[in-house]
Amino acid sequence: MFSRLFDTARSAASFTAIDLALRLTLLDLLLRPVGNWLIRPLVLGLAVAGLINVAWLRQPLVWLVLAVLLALRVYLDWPLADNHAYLLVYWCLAVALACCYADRQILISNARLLIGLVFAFACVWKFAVSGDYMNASFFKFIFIVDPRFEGFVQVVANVDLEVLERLREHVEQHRDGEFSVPGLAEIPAALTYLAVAATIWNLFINAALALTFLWPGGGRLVAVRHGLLLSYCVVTYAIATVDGFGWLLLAMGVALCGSEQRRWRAAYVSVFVLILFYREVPWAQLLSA
Amino acid sequence: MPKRFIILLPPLLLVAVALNQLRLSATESLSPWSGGGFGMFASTDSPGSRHLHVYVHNAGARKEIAFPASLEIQVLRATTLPSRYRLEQLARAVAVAESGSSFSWDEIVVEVWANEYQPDTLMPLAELLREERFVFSSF
Repeated sequence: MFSRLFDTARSAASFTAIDLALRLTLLDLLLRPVGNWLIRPLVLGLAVAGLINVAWLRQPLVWLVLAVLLALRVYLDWPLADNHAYLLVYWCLAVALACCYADRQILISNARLLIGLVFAFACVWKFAVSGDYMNASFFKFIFIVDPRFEGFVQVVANVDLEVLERLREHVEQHRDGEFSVPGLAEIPAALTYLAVAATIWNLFINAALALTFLWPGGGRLVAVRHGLLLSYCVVTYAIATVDGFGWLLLAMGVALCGSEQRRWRAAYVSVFVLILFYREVPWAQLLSA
Repeated sequence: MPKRFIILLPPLLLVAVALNQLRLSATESLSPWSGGGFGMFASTDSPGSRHLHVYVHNAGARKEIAFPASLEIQVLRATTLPSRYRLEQLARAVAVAESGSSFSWDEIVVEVWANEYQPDTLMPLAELLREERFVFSSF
């Protein structure tokens, strides 16, 4: 196996279909750089090399080094690294293995299982472990305290910025072991309805993604998987600007597309670009102004 | 090592890390938002919702110490995963920042608090997640 690390893909034809997935992964690393002063330039350098040179794109050692660098980043940041950081490690390792064995099926299996498991564990937290998700408290909380949702809340729930700031002050007040009644803030009904809707949508889409991706087999399920994943990315990343995670999910989704599935690949690329627009154009703030 | 195991290494790693995150959340109060368990955006218990107090006890008197800005990342790590080891390292760092290599405190106490929110009004109530006491004879 060691000698395979230094071979470029031995079967170029079988890899043409996944080249797009690999390129989108490297683009993700370029658009959302990660790591400290030592890791970041190395990751960026490998990403650029892979994008401009197809031999490097399919070189197993490149992906293995990326996986090691990204794992080192998680270790150095412990316990602060977010979920995206871990998924990058697993995905780069999967790509390294697929390139090493020149077997596209390895990448397809890993993409499907990784996506399914991500949402399965998200479901474990949302449905079972977290005590404040199912009752919509989480979304009420996050819509108030996280400034990234400000524009969205103003536009959709028609909540004034002043009201939001007052609610934020109420939620972020420092209380150790006290529970006093004075100063109870009234949460606007529209904000509560928005939180309930967001909760229901996320419970549904997380469960649907987990089930469809972990369920073995193909046929019509393939289209359902693509549709659900694209819908999730279009809706979620319009509101929560965690673009790196979205781009990574899309790159993994592209890896699941057969060579004949041009339209699905085009859809994934379109949503990849859409998320870039979400990041660069503050649509919610513009609409609320 | 069989090929079948090697090619499934990424999802196996994901499962192992995520299960470990669930374990650490239950046993060491690791924040749901950290640790690779995909609990982000599932709980109000984010690292930003937690806070920390450091007190020194000396001859029956208690005084809170403010931690310097240089320890901000260390404080964030300690609130995200408030293990005894991390809190001890933080206590040492705060003590040194406050008094250099010599001090005469009986005890340093580190408290980590997490907020819970009343469902209808989001009134916050901080609950003590972890309290550790340290006696440092010297550095």
